[in-house]
Amino acid sequence: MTARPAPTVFFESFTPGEVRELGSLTVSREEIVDFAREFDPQPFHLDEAAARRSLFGGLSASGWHSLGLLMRLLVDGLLKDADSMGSPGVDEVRWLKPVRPGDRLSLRLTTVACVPSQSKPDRGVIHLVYELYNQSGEAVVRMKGMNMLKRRPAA
Amino acid sequence: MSDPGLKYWEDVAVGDRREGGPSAPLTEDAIVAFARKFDPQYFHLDPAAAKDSLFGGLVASGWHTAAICMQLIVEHFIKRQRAASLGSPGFDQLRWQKPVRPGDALSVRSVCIETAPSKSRPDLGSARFRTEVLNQHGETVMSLISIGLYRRRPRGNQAMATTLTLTAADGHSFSAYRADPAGPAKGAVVVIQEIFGVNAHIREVCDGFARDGYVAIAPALFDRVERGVEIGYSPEDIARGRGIREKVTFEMALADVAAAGAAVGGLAKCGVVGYCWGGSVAWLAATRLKPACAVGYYGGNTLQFQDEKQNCPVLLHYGEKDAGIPIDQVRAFKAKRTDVTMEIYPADHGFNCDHRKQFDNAASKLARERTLAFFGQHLRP
Repeated sequence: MTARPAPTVFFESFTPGEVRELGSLTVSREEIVDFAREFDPQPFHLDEAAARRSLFGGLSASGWHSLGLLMRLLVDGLLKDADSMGSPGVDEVRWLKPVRPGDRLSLRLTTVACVPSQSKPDRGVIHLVYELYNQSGEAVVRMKGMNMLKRRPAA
Repeated sequence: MSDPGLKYWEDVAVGDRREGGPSAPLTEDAIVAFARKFDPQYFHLDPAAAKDSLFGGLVASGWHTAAICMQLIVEHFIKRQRAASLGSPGFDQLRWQKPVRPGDALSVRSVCIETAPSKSRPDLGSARFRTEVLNQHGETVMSLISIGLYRRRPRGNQAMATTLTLTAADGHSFSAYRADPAGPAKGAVVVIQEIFGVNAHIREVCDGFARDGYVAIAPALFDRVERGVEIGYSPEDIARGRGIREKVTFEMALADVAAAGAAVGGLAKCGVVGYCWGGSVAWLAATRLKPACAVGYYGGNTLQFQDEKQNCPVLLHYGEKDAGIPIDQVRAFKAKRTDVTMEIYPADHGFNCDHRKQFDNAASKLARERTLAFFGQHLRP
């Protein structure tokens, strides 16, 4: 990998209450089945007929696949421009609606709180609500989590 | 480890512990491939650049660890314990405690901390589990509160079910699953297993016949070779099932079918119904024993024994897409033996089993209606 571009997104880039729209992507049937085959081989993620008999009423992506796609949108739309320090975790995830083959998913980010680290002055934690929603505007995943970001270096 | 009873929400209890794994060691390639798709940050993609990151080297995406956690849960908990898992509404308090690096082999362990009936759906319930992913050093790398959604045990017309120990004429003792109808019985049937043991599907078949008013009993025919065999329908399961079936002779199977019939009022009054290998056993029960009637679903060996004379009315179901039972030979058998009722469905082998991808709802429903009508005609309390 070549040298990474200088980060432009920092802890200071966030303000509680602000909402960001971070782009979208489309998920195919093949991707849904491939992911499920490797990580979540339950019939309702693999097989259309079995899925129709399940609570999902049709083939749907593994919830972990949806979270992977959420992460992809987060990296492409935000973290690629940050010096991300990873995430301590996620407080709550709810899979609200099935993700279907062909769905176009978009990510909306709402900043809840910005907490500078007490012990390490070079970083802080942003608390966010991440909403993945489909082409009909329905939220399919709602996640409350955190990202740790570097603070903007003093000029 | 196994917990063969777990099936409905009622079977999940606070304090239940489960463990599974380890996974195969995670490769650098797998870490990079996952990250390229879902989390393309340099510390997940580039081993050299990752050395300068706060992780000090290449690490797996936290979502990759989470996906492996799910993989372990499906393989070790859901499939093995045949839980009536319906998916999950989500999870809480996920924490990535330690980086996961190339070469790490992960295991999962989980303890149930809470169960609750669904407020909106009386047929569903949920359970919360404290779930941890551990590496090969026993360190917790990730933890979360996972939530499972389960079907509740049906009420009302629910059949009573028990597991019995029976003894065949030759002294062999074996287990059998018995389901009784809630009301007075219309008769009794011996349910003969496939090559997968008396598994969840065969028990469900028994429960279904019990709901339709019949005492149903399924002898564990594989107990002759290995006790307690209950397997699924993967290629490995099929290979294992075939290996055991080869050691169980038709004579052994028929001895156990006779003993099962004796346990529910005598084989002479019983219907016999078998699936796959059990379909062949059902045919031989009709020709070599004397039940009240017999029904065979896609039994391949019926062709081999097609010249045997039956001692009772017989109904045989076949799927025309069944690669293992050539349909021309079935048609020739049908043309030759007008004294046997044979039905052919536009379906594959195993079409009655809703745990298999070959399940065909229409064929299964029609075959079941015909089977119940046949029992209605030939069975008495």
